[in-house]
Amino acid sequence: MATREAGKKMIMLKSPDGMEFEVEEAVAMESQTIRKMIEDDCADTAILIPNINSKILSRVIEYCNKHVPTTGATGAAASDTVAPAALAEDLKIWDAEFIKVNRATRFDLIQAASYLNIKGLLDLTSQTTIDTISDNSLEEIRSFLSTKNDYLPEEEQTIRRENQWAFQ
Amino acid sequence: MKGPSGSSGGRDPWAPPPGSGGGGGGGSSEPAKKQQRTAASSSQADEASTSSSSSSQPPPQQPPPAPDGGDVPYLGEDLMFEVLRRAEARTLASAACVSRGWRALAQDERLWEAACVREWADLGFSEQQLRAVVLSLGGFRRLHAVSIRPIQRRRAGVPAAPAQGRGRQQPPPRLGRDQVQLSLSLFSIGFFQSMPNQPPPKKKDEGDGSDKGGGGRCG
Repeated sequence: MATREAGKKMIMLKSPDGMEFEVEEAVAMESQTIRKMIEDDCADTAILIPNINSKILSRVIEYCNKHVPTTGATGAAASDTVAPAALAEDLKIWDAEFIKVNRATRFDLIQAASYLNIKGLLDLTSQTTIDTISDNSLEEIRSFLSTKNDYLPEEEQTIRRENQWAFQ
Repeated sequence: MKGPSGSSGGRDPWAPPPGSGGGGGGGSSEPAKKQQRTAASSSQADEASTSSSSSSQPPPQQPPPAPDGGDVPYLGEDLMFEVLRRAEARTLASAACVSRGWRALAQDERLWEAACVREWADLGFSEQQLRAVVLSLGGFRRLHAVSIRPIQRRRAGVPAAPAQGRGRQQPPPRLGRDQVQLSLSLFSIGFFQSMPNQPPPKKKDEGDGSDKGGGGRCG
C-alpha cells in the first residue's frame, strides 16, 4: 500500500457547501492530512473536507496542482528540459502571484493549509502575513489584524519604551 | 509540528510561563480570553454606570477588541503562533505593542527561540553553542536584547549606545570570537545576578557546565 503506483488514480474531495473536486491522488497527497487518510485506507471514493468552503478548497487544489512533484509522472509537463533552478524560480513567481489575495482569503488559506497540513502553503501564507506585519506601522498592523489597542495609555508607554528598538 | 486539530485546547502547550508576563503590571490576557471578556465586560459596564468609582479598571466604554471583527476570520491562537513563528525579533517586539493579547502571544519563549536561532545563525555563529547556553540559563527574549541586538547594531555600523552620537564611525564591524563569548558570558552573569537567594544547586551546575562547554568550543 505504501508504494502505490503514482499513476492517475483520482480522489474526490468534497467541500461542506456541496462542491466536489476530482483531483489526482498525487495532488491530494500534497496534503499530509489527506495522505494519511489514504494511506490508512480511511478514504473511500470521496473525502469530505470540513470547514473549508469550495472557494478556498479550489485555491488549495490549485496550489497543490502546481506544487506536486512532476518527476516520474507520466503525463506531466516535461520538466527535463527545464533546469531545477529555473523551475524553482518559476514556482516562486507563481507563488507570489497566487498569494495576491485579500486578507480574509489569506487567513482562510492559512486555516486550510494548517488543517490539511500542507507545509509549503502554510509557509507561504504565514510568511506573507508576517511580512505584512513587519513592513507596517503599529496602527496599520492593528488595522490589518482587526485588533484594537486595549492598552491603558501609561501601559502603552511602558511597552513602547521596552520595545522601542523595534521601531528605530 | 502541532496537530491541526488542537484548536480548542491549543492554549496550554505554549502558554507563556507564569513568571514571564509581568512586564506592564496589568495581567496578561490573550485573545482566547478576550472573547470571554466580551460577555464579562457588558456586566462590567453596568457596574461602572451604577458605581463609577473605580478608576484603575480598563475603560468600560471601549468595546473589547473583536478579533473576528468584519469579514476577517479570526485565526485563533494556534495559527497566530504559526504565523509569528516566522517573525524576526524586531517584528515580535512591535507585535507586543499591538495589544495585550498580542503581547501575551509575542512573549512566548519559543517564538524568541526561533527568532534568536535564525538571527544567530545569520550572524555566522554556531547554533549548538547558543542553544546549550540559553536553554540552561533561560530567556531567548533577554538573549536577543543582551547579545544579539548589540552585535547586529555594531555590524550595521550603529553605535551600541545611542547616546554616543551617530556620526562616529565604528571600528571594524567584525566581532572577534572573544567578544561574542563575552556577550554570552554577560548574558549568563545577568542570569545568576537575578537568581533568588537560594539557587537550586542542580541548575547552577548545569549553568556552569554549559558555560564552560561554550568557552571550550570557542577558545
